[in-house]
Amino acid sequence: MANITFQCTEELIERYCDISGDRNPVHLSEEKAAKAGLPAKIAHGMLSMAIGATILSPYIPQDGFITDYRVKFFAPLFVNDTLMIECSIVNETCSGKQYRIVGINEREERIFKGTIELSTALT
Amino acid sequence: MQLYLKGMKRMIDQRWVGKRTERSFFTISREEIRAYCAVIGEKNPIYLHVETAHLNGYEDVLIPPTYPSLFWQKVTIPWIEQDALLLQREQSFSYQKALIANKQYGCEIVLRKIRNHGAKQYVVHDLFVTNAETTVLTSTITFVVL
Repeated sequence: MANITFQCTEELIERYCDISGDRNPVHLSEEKAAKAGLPAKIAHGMLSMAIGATILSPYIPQDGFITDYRVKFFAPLFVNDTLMIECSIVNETCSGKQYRIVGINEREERIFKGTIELSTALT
Repeated sequence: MQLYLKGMKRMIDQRWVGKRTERSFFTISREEIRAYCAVIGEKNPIYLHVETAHLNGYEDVLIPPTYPSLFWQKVTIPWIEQDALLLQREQSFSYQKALIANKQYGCEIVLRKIRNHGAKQYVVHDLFVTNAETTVLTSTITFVVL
């Protein structure tokens, strides 16, 4: 139904560090990431999840909002990785719609998957 | 996916299960929401323009659905003592009501469950956001302590 692709640049990670207050060095230092057993600096999981929600922005109904959003993470997203997030509708009722969401990197590795629900009933 | 909460002790003692943090209170400004939206690429005016929010029946701009993850960094959690590597496994946000700018919300975190599996520890926390003593958001995070 809809998708979004973005590159996880150093700048993006640093901006998310600033906005979230989470400045753990594995997001910012290659050396610290290596000491943690990681091949490169990594992005915050919540950065990918937050960007994923923007896919449905054009579909938010009047008087409605995202009422439920849940994902399971399978692998880290490394600096300079590209993430493609896809979203497709799986269920529709009189009060809302449920979508499936999945994030996959350029190596075809699944980074996360989950569901998002839009509702008009709980404002 | 790695998530690092400030000061997390490497392993959490089971005695903390069921414990609840003190309630903290937050009011999120339109400017804070705008800055967050700029980072994640959110352009929906319902988060950015109060006029659009009003037209959609809200008192103020909406707080984006994943924004409350930032509350974790602001709440003091007594069972957190030092930095450690955490693998974020699951995250959810379940809203009973939309959150909006310039409204005061209470926030508390409960350690719901710990499961030890070999050298790893699976930990589940619930974050409750309240307004006027009513829960408006429950956010659950599951992570692995390595």
